[in-house]
Amino acid sequence: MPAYRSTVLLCAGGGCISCGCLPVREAMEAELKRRNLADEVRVVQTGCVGSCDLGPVLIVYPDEVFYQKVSPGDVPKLVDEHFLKGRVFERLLVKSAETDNLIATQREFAFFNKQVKIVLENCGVIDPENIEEYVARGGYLALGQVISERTPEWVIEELKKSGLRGRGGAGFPAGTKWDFVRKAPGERKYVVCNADEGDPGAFMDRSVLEGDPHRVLEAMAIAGFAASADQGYIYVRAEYPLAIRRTRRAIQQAREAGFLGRNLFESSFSFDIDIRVGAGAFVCGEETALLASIEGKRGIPRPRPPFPAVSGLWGKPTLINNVETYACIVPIITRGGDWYASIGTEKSKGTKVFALAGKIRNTGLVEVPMGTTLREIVYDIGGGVPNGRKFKAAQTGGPSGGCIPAEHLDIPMDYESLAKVGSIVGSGGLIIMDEDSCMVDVAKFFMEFCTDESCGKCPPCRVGTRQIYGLLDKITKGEARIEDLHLLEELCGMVKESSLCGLGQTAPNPVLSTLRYFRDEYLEHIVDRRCPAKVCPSLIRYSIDEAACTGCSLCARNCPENTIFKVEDQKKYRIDPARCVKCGVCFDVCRFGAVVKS
Amino acid sequence: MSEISLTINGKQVKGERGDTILKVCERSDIYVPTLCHYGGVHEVGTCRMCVVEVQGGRALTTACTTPAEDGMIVKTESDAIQSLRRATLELLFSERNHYCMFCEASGDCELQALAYRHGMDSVRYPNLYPKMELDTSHPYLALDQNRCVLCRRCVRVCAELVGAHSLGMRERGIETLLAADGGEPLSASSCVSCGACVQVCPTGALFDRRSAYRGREKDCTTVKSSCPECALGCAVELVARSGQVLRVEGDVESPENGGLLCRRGRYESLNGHRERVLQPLVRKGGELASASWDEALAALRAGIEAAAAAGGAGAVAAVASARASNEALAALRGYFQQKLDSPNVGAIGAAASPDGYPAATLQDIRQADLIILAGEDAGANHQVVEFAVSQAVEQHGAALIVVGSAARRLQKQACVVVPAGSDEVARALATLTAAGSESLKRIACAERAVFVVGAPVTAVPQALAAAAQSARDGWPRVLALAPKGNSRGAAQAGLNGGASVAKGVKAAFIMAGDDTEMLDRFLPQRDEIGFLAVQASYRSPLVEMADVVLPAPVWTEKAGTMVNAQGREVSLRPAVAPPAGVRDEADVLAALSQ
Repeated sequence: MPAYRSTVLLCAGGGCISCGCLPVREAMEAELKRRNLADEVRVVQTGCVGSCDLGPVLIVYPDEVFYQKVSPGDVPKLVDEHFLKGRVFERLLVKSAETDNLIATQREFAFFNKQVKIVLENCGVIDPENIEEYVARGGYLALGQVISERTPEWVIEELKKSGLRGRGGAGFPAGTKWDFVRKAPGERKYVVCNADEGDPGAFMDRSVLEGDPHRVLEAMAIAGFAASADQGYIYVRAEYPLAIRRTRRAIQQAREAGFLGRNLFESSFSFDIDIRVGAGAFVCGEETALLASIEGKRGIPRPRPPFPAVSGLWGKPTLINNVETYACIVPIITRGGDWYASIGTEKSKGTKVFALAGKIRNTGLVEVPMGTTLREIVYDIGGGVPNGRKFKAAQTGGPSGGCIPAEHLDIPMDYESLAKVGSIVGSGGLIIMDEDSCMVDVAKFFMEFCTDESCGKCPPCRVGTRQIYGLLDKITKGEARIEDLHLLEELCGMVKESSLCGLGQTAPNPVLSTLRYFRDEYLEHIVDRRCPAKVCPSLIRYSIDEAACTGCSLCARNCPENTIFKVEDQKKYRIDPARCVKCGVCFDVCRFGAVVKS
Repeated sequence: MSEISLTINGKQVKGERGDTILKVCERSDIYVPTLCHYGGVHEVGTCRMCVVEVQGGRALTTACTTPAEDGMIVKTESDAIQSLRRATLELLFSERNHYCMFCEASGDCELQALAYRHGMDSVRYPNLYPKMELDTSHPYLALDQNRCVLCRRCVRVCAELVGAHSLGMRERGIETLLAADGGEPLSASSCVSCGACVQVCPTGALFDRRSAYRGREKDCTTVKSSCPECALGCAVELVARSGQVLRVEGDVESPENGGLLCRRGRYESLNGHRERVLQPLVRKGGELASASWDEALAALRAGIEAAAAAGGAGAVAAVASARASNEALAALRGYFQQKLDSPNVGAIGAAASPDGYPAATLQDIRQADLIILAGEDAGANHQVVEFAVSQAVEQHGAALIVVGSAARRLQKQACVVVPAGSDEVARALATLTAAGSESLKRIACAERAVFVVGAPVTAVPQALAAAAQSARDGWPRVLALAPKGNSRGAAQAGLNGGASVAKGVKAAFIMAGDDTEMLDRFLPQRDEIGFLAVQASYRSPLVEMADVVLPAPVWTEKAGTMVNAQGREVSLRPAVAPPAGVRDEADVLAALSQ
């Protein structure tokens, strides 16, 4: 392999591809060639770096200079500055949130330097389509060692020592689960990877498959060894075409390299993996529904017991974990369970990847030790709430999770602490809300999601979520009475207690937790017919402050319903409240702050 | 089976290992409300009515899906459980149109009964009441989605017991719908019209078109009888009101058909539009005219006795359908064989069981590990056999060998298909034991093989039994299908199965009863037969050409016994009285003998 003076890591995660990183790559390669630098500077396309709102992102090694929002047009200047003149191209650097100072390197960027990357250690660093880069980072060493030198019992023991808990949501101890499958009677067993990541906003599993697929394959093979299974399936949703493509390629490469297939490392152990593509049902992330779907049946959950560890795929004992859980396995095997257990809190070990989104300066994937406080994530890593607004709440765990209000900003993010305040770690969705978020509306959003995604099998979830949604809708329209609030609480409790699967059992959580912390906001909607965050269309009205109006007519021209008219003989406009649909376009377009929301 | 002991509601009860909590409760007469549960199909835990509390459990659990364990402490009733059940019902009632007073099933509805039981007197949620289509495309059954609670009983029965897999679910969430073949109208779907779905529907979503709105269960009488439509003699329940049979249901207590019936048994025998013969007819001056029973019997006696006087006993013939009951056949023989000494007494369709094999029940088929199906009768004409075979293959992994071109649906499930025309089936059956064949291998390793044979196969080669080396004691078994409901009984009575009216017969008595296949027989011979008397339930060309016609009851109106294909005696019991003027066949013939 020729030696290069410098390496440009170009993030090619889903987000950066959407922002147009591939034309940047072409421009970069052309420019390097034009400047005769092609032998000195290498361009590597990696998986997701994590800072998705800054894409397309380039990191130039060896100095780790971090360039953001690079367009193909920037490339000639960048090459000129960085590689020929040997100085950092300042225009494409990130600015610090607090000081407005420029941040030159990834190391200096708080978004990255507060993170501890285990799951994502290779993401954004290696080329996911090249197995050699994975192997160069020590890939498949753990599998080889386990097969040649260790026993399945040793693997499970190490896993138990590590304290790793399933990252899919429920947080079941992984070592115990592996042990169940190992001990379950049966000739044939299966290993399944749940990559049907469906929580709105969460995409760590996609990132791992897109950025470091071999890590998952290796972990599944180790799982196969530990559980005596010879076949694995990765169930991945069809909405992840890039993850599917890269994982397919990785499987192919691993087979060619002898890391998957028959008699691995010249032992009697054989293991292979196939991909099954889901057809877009959220409920298929529930393990029994997922297994039914792999079998080719309608993807609906069934009651447990029997648990998949006893009777899973085609009735055989099946080990099922999600992508992020598998992504922790190789480091645990390589560095030991004790090492992993040294990270995190007493009961929640290791790191957790959160998908940071919403009203926050730096969005994207962040990996932090369990127990890191919400404040650290929001302010240190996330850079705080933008536009001078105040932090109102953080929503964790997606549609199954809950809200954490500002008073709990110092809560350690781990399984137990989040459960205590009525939320969950879940798959790691973390949505930040500021004062402009209506909590009833947030609850309604998640409930609408659950209503759409309910499989329709059991009445509490099928009808219950629909009726909860109806009650929330009534509240946001200002049509509810106080009895409806009591009915809502009763119904939420009932759906939680009597639904068949996790989807229904957790669907009321967003409502229950917003009720717990923002009950006043519900009451304001019901009693005062007022939405304090000014979000619910039925409870707000738009008007024009005639003193501020300059008569520019921008609002009137943009109004989709033509409800804004000119006041006769004056350079002023007015809104007809009877016909206004409260879309807010006038409010958004007015440059003089003359449109008032009340 | 090892016994386990649980504490349910503070009471010590026993169960067996492998039982669910619900099963243990059933054994101990502890009531647990259910809606989606249906015996014989797998549990899905959908309806959430049977939630119970297990001490130490993380949450409430459904009794129908939770395995009972030794030492378990279970509570089936508490205020919390009751209110959850009531809340589930409330949601169900708010989902679709469950206004009971307009529903066919009101009074016989499990949903309604549960609501009363749980004191659910009002619904606090808005009624979602989406607009839903009514599927009335099918001639015998209808589907009203408005009443459906999505319990999936019908889906499971259609798949697991019937093997048709016609019903399923489409869409999801609140939009979920029951659908045949993914959304076809029932009449255009793969529905086999067995009606099992209707029988298991807990509400008025799937209902029988003929009996709809004609009476609640409490207004009706239910009589256990047996279906004479084929030689299986399936156990049925006849539901009647005001002298009319409303519907035929499968008798769920029967270990044989277990509630399943075929299209013919459940629907076709009631849904025909045939004109009944309601009073005796006698030909006068070339025309058939109404007559009193005395007149008709006198004319019959005169016609028969005149022929016997002129041509001897050989000039008189009596032919019955092998669907006639043992009692009717005995009375026929009493008059014609014993009194008149006629040599020409027979029953069309009489058939003895083949020798050498124990008879197989439907239970045996369901538990078999190998089934060989030969002959054209086996699939098409005996749906209930087909269902049992499907169950064995799909649910228990039995191997299936099909010989002949019939049983088209089952051919898809077969591991070996030997094509043969109807005249080649017997020969093809013999080739199964050819050395080295796939079939021979299957037969050799089968422990519980069942051979199902239908016409034209009359005997099962002994070579098949000889090839079954691993067979358990008493196996292999044979289910030989027979053409008529009482074929075996007629054969046991010594009646000739291929009966026809011999040459030189001058007077013939035809006991057709309600066998519609008999109705145009003997027409070509009409001119040779001087005097023709017919005992029949329905008007037909044969009746029109007779000299004397005696009205006969149909099967739902009569009592008697039959012997089914397996040699088991089954009973007919009347659900309604025959119309005035119609007399029982056996009684009429007995009267003649005196």
